[in-house]
Amino acid sequence: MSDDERLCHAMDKYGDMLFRYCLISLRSHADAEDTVQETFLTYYKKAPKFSDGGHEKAWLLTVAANKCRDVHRFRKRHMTESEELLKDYVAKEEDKRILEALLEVPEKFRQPLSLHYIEGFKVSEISDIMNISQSAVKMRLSKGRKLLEEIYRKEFI
Amino acid sequence: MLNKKLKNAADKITMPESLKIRILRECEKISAAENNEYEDSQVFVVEKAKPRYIRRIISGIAACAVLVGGIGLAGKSLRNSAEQFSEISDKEVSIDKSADTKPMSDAAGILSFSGFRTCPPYKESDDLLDETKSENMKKFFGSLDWEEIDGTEYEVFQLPKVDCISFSAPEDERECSVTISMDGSNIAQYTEVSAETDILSSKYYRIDEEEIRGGIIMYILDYYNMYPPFGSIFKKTETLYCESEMYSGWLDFEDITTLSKLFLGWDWSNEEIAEDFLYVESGQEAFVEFRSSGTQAEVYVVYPDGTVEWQEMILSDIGVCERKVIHRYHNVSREEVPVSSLCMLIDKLISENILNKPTNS
Repeated sequence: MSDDERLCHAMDKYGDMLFRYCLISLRSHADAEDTVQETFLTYYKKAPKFSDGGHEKAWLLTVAANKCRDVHRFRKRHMTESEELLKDYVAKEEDKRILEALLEVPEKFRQPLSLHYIEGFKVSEISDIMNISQSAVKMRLSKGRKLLEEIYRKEFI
Repeated sequence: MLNKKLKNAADKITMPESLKIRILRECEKISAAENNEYEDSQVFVVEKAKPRYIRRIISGIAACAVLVGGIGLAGKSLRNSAEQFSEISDKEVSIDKSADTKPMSDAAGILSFSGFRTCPPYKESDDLLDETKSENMKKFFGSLDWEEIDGTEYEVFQLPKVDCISFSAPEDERECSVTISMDGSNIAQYTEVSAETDILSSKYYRIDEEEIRGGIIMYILDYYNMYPPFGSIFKKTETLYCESEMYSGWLDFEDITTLSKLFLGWDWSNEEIAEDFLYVESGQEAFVEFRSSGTQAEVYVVYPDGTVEWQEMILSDIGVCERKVIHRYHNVSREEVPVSSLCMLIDKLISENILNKPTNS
């Protein structure tokens, strides 16, 4: 398989997952697109070898998570404007509500929630991707669930 | 239910086709550039597209002045740091004099260490350092052996998993940062950035990650700035139940440190987490219980067989426990249950009147 074919295959297989993750994490179309692009360019340039699909998936998410973290660092110094994120993707009002509630959960809880409940990663895998302990992942999932539920019920029901 | 709803909704978000095309186009340009097959006009396009993001990453990193990190906090590194602390205290004057000859003297001198920001795995905060901590940090950095290396292979934005603590020098227009690797590569990068986020200078050093983490924790973070378990709870130990007797009191930093070290020295490999909304109580009577105050109470419960529970209690406005999340750790790897060490500590706290029986009991 050539490098180009490999990239196309990876984009088809993991593109949606990475874009979803970056969009939820960064809450910005432009930043999410830039971050996904940078992630795939790193993949293309480095052409890493993987033992299996799971390894490849985790590698891409780790790179994307690091790049998202860089963007968050940048934002700590530079204010960014909020935007209406979901209008292009979600037509159903109910889907929009739950996603909007998720977007209001603070970043540090939003990331593990997205990885665990949307992308189906295990606690141990999230621990590796986010470079935090499994206890911390569990704690964030626990508190994140609580916050999500509170926001959802308070604002959307 | 909410989880399924969330997944169903999020699955509708897909990567835009235009982005795929953009990525493929960028890759073609990279490929063409590598093969020297591009024309001048193509060079212009590549240069226009790439630096925008790199600049943002660099300036993002530059926004943090000293960056330090570490998850793996072992008892050993803490002890090493403790020993190092006493050594530094003994030779404070000599450190100040010798600092000028060290490669990092610029960093140690320029950084005022007046502000710092912590990120995961430490509890996130954005705070100012007091004068003592600021001085300790400056001396600690000055005392380290900074071996300058050729760091051309380490791009600023490629240093992995950094940014646990950042320092800033608000009175100076420049910002100096030290970025410490967290992946075992033992690399530090010192950068000096202008107010316009242009990098004025950049140097690379070979360092000992563990040593720096230990120092950071010892001088700045304190134990209670770490994520629970084994950190934050001990900051506000308000009441303590020991063998059915109740005591209360506020622990000082030294006792918190001792307590944290004790817990950190155990093996916490076997962990269970109880599901939300479930009340899972152990059948045993607690040997000792450390409780913190606040609307979201956190409690450590130690049982005679060495099992420890870290409980988060979610309280309502009127102080009623609405639900409880229990993390249970089995300290099975030790033959002797470390309760005796706890006994000694608690006896000491009681004898020093740090912990007292409430007057109405």
